[in-house]
Amino acid sequence: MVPWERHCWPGKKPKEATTSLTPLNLNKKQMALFEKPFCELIDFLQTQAKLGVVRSSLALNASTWPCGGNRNFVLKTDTAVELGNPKTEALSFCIWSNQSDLIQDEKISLLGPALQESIGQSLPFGQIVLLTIEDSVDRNESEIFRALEALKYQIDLKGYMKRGASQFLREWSRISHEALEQGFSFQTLGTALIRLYKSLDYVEAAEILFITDLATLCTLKPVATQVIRTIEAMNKMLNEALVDCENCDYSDVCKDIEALRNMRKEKTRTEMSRYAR
Amino acid sequence: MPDKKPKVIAFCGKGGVGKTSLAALWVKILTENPKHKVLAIDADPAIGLATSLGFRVEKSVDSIRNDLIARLEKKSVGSPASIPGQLDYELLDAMEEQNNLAFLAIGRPEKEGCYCQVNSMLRDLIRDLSLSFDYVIIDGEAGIEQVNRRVMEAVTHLCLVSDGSKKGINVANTIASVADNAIQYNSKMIIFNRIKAEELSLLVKSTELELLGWLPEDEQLRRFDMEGTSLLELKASSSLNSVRQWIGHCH
Repeated sequence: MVPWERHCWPGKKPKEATTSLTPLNLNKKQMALFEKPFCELIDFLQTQAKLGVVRSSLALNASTWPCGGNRNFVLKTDTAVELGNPKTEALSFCIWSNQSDLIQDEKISLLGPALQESIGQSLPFGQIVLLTIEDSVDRNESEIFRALEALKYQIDLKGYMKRGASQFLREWSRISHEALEQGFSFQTLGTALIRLYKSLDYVEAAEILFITDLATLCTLKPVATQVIRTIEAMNKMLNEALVDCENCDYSDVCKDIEALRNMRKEKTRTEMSRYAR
Repeated sequence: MPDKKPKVIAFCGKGGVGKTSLAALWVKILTENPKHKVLAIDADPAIGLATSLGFRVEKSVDSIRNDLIARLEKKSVGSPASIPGQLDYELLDAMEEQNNLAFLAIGRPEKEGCYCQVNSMLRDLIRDLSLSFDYVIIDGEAGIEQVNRRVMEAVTHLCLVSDGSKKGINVANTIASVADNAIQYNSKMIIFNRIKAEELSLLVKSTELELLGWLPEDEQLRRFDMEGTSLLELKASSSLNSVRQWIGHCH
């Protein structure tokens, strides 16, 4: 395996993961919306690291890549590498935990070929953002989800065109020949994403995993399915005037996720007090 | 690099006057320069420009809109903030590409009413998408409806097309007057298509629109049209030469 990025960059010292990374170490009181898939991914990353197939770097101190502005459409003919075309496998999601030190802050990992090794190809693509979110009673999980969801569309890097289908947790992007010649890499993209997410004051740490290997993506599909089901359950609950758990397709999801049950209780309480008024 | 606004050229007029062929010839000439990024938008529900440019339409803006409306009704769209992003993804998926040319079919005209927000979102996205191109060529729907619906707000050059018929000229004149209130264009001109040289002076007198040029019946274009051959494959023709000169004049 060719080393991807061996050196670190000066700047803010990122937080090291200090906890033994197994789901069993989770503090049950701090269970957030995506705690289960979060822990499965941490486990998965550990296993991959032991196999020596993960290439990692740290985010740069600042995202210095120029913005694309209005004229950032990358035509097929100008595309050096395409990621996550609808005809290939793709997944993209951002999940978080309130438990600090599960992730290595500012770490960017890659499973599969790097961009420079894939010129002229259309690759399957996975982008998984893992965040540590400050534990606060004033902020509910759905607010965090909406804020993070809105944030991901703000990425603007010259020569990188991104389109996201969040309902399918997919992302489709093209990197231009010009961008690649000027050194665009997953580190460039990862840095921009990490800086963006950490611009939110309650994001304490961010780690990113990029996947360009089909077999790995397929292995992670069940995790993506869990995330989709959780998001769908949350959206359904938030969109419906009355919660009817007996006739809900997502009752199995709520049963497993404490944060969703808390959300439901809160919604019921709000509805009841509105009704009482 | 400062953001450069695209030149947006729309072809409008009565049905059957040759708007689509003219739009396709325009696209062919503009794309001959590989540095030009060209977006062709087929705003005619008949989707004739696709055939004239050799594209097969699998997905249109209309189908994206209908799909979103269906998902909105089922409440399965996720967070409202993600909707423009989802539509943008679908638009890219609906886009056909060939070298420096991208093509988008609008499909059936948008339905106003409860879902005008979806229509307006799509309009904004297409407008934003256009900014990435040097030229946007729109093959308009027949008649004046499209101008009325303000779907062509961003048009910089309005090309009205008419044949030699009174009806054709009337439609062109009506579109021109409606456009005065709906579009902030830089130029507005008329092209007479499939006419004879001796008819020109009389036709010019029947409109106040500036004449960009005229074309006689072109056998080669008619054959390409009948065979469904892409006009991008046209090697040489008198029509092509005329359009090349007009483009020089316009741009």
